[in-house]
Amino acid sequence: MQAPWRAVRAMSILLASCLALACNNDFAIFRTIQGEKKQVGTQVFDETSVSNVFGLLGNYYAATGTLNGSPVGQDSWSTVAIGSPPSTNYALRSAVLAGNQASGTVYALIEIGVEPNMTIKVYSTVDGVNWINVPIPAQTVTGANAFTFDALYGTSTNGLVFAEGHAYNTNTSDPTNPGPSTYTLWYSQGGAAFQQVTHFAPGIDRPIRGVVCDNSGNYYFASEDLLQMSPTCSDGGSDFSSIAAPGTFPNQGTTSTTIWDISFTGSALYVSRQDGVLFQYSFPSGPVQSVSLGSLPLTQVIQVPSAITGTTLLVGSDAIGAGSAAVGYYEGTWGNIQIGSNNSEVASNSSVFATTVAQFPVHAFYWDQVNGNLFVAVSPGFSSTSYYGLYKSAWTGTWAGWSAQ
Amino acid sequence: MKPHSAAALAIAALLLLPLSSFAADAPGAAPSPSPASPPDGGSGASAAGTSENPYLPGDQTIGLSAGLHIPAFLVPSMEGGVANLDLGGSFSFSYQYFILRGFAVGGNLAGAFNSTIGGLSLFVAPLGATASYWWAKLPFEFTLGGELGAYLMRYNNYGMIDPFAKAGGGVFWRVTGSWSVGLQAFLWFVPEIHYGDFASLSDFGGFVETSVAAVYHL
Repeated sequence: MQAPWRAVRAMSILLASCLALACNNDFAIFRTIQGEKKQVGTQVFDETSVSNVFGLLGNYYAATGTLNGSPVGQDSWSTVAIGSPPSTNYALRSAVLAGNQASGTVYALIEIGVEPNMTIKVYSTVDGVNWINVPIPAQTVTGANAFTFDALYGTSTNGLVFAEGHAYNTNTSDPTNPGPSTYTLWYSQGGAAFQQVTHFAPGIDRPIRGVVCDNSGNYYFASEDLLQMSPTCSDGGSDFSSIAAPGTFPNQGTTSTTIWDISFTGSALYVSRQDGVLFQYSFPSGPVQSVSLGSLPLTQVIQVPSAITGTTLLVGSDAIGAGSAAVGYYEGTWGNIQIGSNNSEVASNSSVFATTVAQFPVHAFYWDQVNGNLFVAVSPGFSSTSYYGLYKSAWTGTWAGWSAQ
Repeated sequence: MKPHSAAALAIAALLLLPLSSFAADAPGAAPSPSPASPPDGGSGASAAGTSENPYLPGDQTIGLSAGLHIPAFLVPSMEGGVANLDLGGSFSFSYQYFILRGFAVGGNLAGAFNSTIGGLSLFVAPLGATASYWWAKLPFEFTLGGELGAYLMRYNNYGMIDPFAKAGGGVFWRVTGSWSVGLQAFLWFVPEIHYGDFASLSDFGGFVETSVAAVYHL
């Protein structure tokens, strides 16, 4: 007679376990639904990825397939004309701010025309209206030994801009089996022609993940390794042929531990890895710490105000492959960084987080400290519901929560 | 008045319609004209032409329904309130067994979904024991009843399991001796009960189900 009772007991335990797993006693469903906000953005960002967002003077800029601008405080976005004379007939590869919002320079890497007559140019502006051509090395988009600029990287301190050069090294004997790519680093300042950072010539075999400048005047370059470069930022246009102290970075050399992004914010350098591990290098002589945040690649890190903890970190999360899982961003102070749905101060509440950025890869944040506006640039993908590539949260001592742009 | 509340009141008024027939069918009420016989017999046929309740102990039915799921209220109401839930859909499967003349008990499994203003969805799946009273003025049939049970609710990968109740009724047309089709409406009571340190998160939801139903008389 014991066997049936054992079965009943086992079934009871199984049922109780299932019920417990299905029940989230600490989450208020009806209350969360009541806290949702309808997101109505502009057509510009509807189901459109935004790769970068920044501000210059009285305007914000967001990079999609074009550069889009809006006056601060108006949330009224339109395509920015680029070139000399300015035109909206271009395709944007990359746009960055070098320097700061008050006195920086916007650089745009654009394609004009289509193959086989496509030309690639870099333009810069200090006022958002007048653009000047920044000379770049010859670009060969197709054919054997094609070489082109893929992306720009702006640094905050002195207006230096970097570019990733990409050589395809096409295997001319077998066009269907191209040879390995190599990458080079280039820099420019004040509209001068781009020059190559000779230390990385003739090229490295992994893409560049970022170039940042810390508040002590040192550049950090992330690709297959993390390198500290000197001379310092204040030396501007000097060539970076000398590397004073090649940095060491734990566990480099395997795909899963590849550096995915690099950020400098709040007096600390953050290195984001593909496997979800985040490293913090405190300056000038603080400890190097790490934390594992899930398993997805981590992107940009930014420090913003918090009504609860004074400051808080936002850590963007990426996705591997189109349509794969994404979680938006992580939020919190070092040692207590949690997924945004659990720590939703910037989003205002978990339901706003869930209905805006929660499911999407985050490419960039931009914090306008003067006007109290924080932007997040995401890839919203395609769905029956309108999701947007750009959201803003305003800070007035508390966060207003994400609203679609 | 919010559209959801207006719809809920309209449905409640619809629910009262069968009561007039119930009053006419009650003992002491004036005799009504003899109803027509159902087309092909069945238990309903035995009562054709009389005001006697045709549903006898031992009769059984199974029912299927599909229809609209209207958010009626969320208590306490805050921020966007119940308007943050859109009109949704529902479906159900039920079984009933008559234990007394006109009185049946059984079970019901249902599911309902509503999208939210932010683009997420709410799914509620109640399972419960039912009790209902049926009467007829053939070819029309009427029922009032209720259900007690539990529901599983899912929203954005979060879930709750809590008690559930609903009350309502329906009006059917006896198409054949075995099949009836009609309209039914129920008010769902969906308490979201949290306990312990999270008791303050408890809320109460109400939804109106209006559906097209088909009943098979076994």
